[in-house]
Amino acid sequence: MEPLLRAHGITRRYGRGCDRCLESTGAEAGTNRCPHCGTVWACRDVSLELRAEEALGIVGESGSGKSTLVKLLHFDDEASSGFLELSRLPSLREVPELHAEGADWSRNVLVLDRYRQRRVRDASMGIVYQHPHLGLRMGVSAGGNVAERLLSAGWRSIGNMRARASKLLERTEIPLERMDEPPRKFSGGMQQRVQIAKALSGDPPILLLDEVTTGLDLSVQARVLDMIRSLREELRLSMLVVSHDLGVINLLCQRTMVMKNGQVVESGLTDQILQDPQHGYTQLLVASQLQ
Amino acid sequence: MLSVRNLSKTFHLHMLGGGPLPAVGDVSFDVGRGEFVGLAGPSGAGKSTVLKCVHRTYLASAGQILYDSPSMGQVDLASLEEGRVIDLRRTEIGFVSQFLRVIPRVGALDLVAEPIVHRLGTDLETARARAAELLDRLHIPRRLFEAYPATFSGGEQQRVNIARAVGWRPALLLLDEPTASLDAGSVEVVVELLQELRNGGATLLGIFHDPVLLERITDRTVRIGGLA
Repeated sequence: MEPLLRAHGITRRYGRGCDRCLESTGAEAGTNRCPHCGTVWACRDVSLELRAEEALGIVGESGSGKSTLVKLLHFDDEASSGFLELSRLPSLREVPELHAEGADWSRNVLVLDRYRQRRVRDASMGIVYQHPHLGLRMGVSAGGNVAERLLSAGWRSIGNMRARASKLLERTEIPLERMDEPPRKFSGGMQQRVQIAKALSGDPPILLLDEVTTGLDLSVQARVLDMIRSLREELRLSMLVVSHDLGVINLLCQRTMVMKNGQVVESGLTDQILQDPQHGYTQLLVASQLQ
Repeated sequence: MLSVRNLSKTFHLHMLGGGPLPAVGDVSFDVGRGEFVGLAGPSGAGKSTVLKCVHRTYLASAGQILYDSPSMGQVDLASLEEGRVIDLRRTEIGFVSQFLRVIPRVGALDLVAEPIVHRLGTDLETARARAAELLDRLHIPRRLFEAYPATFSGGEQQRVNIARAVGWRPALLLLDEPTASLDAGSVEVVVELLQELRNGGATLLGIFHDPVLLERITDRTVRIGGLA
């Protein structure tokens, strides 16, 4: 399958950095905060490639940088350095000057202006956050939440937006009679399903999932995961799945990256990561899993 | 079809100080196209380890695993780029163990039909018909077709597993004791299904705990001696 997205050397630091940062932070040092200058390296020199119809898992404990990475890829936060390039996705055709003549890969989208970043994002990816209030306006109706995303993607007809929103909400099993209610009145599982509807509204080829089932009851979690699986099939999505739960990763992802203290310590096929982990941290993670 | 050369696998468990735990050392053998080769050797000799290295579930520590792919030409499975390993698993190489890897909340019939749809591009209805035929032959009662195999007995799970493994007709099938807890009647059906797979041109490499079955089902065996 063709690669859709590739990232190289993605770094996010909070602080000015010093010449001892490199040796004093990261997985080996066991911290992402430099003891000499106080700079936090939330994400350091991360590279990855996502292919069509592939699900790539990112595991690691809290503070490993996995959520930061997804936020950087979604332009929610600004990378300190690094490259993010997209292939010639059909949906990106309308973003001007993104691909140089004849080039397979786009320019580095991390350095585009905000306006064009938003266009790239609307045309290529959707995101579902762990906390629904990050992805939804809790006081605006479920349908309004989806419409808002459509509006930002250039839709103008109220009738069309409403039709699209009800189709998506129906697909994510939100009863249509509740479409006009705000998500704050919904259960946790329903809120996640509204987020999924919103994330898919622009028909993006890439879906970013940031701990989407964390904190949900098991049966609710199962329903959300089943929905993600069937949507992936139906829409042939590529997914980046951030989770601390190896069970979720094992269910959804063919490949997995393991992060610790802002760095990738290991990556490989998911069954290899689970059955033949190489790095000490991954071995600990696998051994710590409840069977 | 498959040429394993000087394959070694050593584990390093960091919780145990990271010292080397050798599993297999310097294993070499060939499997011809259309051949059915069995791996023999005492328990703990590393037969499963070899199989898992071929499937890339384990990373080989040294050596080569040369595979003549119908679609890619010759590749070394020990070092092939991950994306292409995924492609091979999707289109050519299957693995079946004694443990069913269930997908939660997917019924038996769909579990078998899924790889037929994905890997052969068959439409769902045809795939389900083929899946039903396989499950019938393996004596899975029809009333269980829509049930979740997680609730099945060990023997039933194994039969679903075998149906899932052969249904999409992989070019190379790796078998890790797939008949471990089957009754004699079911084993006969499995032997038949594997024979049909071979007649279709598939190559097989497998481990069977029953020496009589091993002798009967394979063309020849390769002995994995363990470490000196």
